[in-house]
Amino acid sequence: MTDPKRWLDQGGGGSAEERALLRAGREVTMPRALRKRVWLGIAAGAAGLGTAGAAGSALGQGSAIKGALSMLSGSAAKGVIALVIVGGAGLGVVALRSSPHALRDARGAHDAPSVRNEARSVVEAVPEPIGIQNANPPSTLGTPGVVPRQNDANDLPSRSEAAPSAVREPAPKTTAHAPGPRAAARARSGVSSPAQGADDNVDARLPEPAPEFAASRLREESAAVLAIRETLLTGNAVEALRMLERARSEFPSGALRQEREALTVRALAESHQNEAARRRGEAFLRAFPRSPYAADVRALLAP
Amino acid sequence: MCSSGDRVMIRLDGSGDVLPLFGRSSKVPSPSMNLERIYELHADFVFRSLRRLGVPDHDAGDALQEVFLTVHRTLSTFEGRCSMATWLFTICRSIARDRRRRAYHRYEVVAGPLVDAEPDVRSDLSKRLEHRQKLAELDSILDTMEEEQRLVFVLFEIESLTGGEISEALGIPLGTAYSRLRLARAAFRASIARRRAADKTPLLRVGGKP
Repeated sequence: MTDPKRWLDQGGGGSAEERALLRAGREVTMPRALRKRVWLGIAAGAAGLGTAGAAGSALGQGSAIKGALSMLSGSAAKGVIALVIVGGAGLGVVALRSSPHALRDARGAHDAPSVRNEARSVVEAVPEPIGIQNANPPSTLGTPGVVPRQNDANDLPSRSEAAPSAVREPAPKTTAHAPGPRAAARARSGVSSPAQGADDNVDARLPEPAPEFAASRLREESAAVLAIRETLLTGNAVEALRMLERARSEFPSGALRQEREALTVRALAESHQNEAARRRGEAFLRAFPRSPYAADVRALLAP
Repeated sequence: MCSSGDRVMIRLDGSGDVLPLFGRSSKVPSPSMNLERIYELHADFVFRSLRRLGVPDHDAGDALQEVFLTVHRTLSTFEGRCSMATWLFTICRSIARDRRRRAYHRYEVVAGPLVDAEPDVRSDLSKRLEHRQKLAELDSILDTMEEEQRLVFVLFEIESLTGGEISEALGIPLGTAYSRLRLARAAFRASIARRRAADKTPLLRVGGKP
């Protein structure tokens, strides 16, 4: 079977009116400002994705990982990072600021109001603290037989759950609840929820799915991940772990969960919490076996 | 249906050149460069596709970003059995569906005004206005069509995908794609005819008499 001619093609059979309408549809392009803004967000997100390409045996030796982050070599990533560091003018810097107010302010005439302003995604249950300094790693991480909630399937480790067995890759699908200002304030301030440290009964400490779902805040999340990566690059793994914990509270169902978890493994390894890194890394590999960061994580776990 | 999994050979530009992608060899551009190139070449297609799939304009930026971050994540495992456009469209469908579901749960009104969507080549104000009118009419006509027909029609007539690509993107047999195209063309034509007939009908005066 061969395709028929298109109406817009010579002799395709479309009337002048039909052709004019179709041409109008074909000529739609993204507004330039939107195009640039979205790319900066993508580049920031992509730049935050690299973990430890040449990590080698960091876990076994307990040494700091010196491997260059693969994505850092990309020109786009460099551009974005340079914008952040130099404080370059205009859109780029503003778009990468993590403050919601700054982002709001940055939206110009080209940017219609976003649903991001309407809801902050926060979960009721504050995740267990990851291994900041000498804290113990999540005790049940990787424990077989613990089935995660569907909504948390892509959200790794810090909920004392086993690695999800039915994680959907690649598109981020899950959303978080917006439980209300008190929980939001708790999560933002870093104060533990009363549910923190509860047992594996996740359903008991999470509310039923609320009718409101968290809006995507990819740009802010991208900026946060980028900042974490920068911090790791400077060798401050402990601070990176704190930032990761904040990011986990702020973006519980964020689109960059894989990146966040991979960075967590790296940060744990760099802060010499080898056992915690190993557990988390193994959980990551079970949850995202086909992740582009799986190789990096495997390299981190290698003896 | 097009999915990710094995090696890939993708045309990265309009010239028809076939380049190895993400082979992790030194000859292959860095991943971010690939992503940048794909964005450069296909962002407009993704933007249009998301719109046609019901993503509201105010959500277009986030949806686009989500699409390309998914591309970034999965590019290394992308199969070369389908074209880049086909693959991107399947991602768009998945993300649009997800966002619609989230919008539903937020009781959000999905419809919205056009995001300043205009051809950048049209600097002339009157031409721009004319284009907007045409686009609004096109949207309005497409809205009257059944979704499965509309998707085939848009992908074939506007996005210039082949029947085979559409079949892969939508997961339907090629014959079904052609059949839907025929029906869609008839529906599109009939919708225009109805609009023109309505244009010619004189307005009724108050009281019902012309």
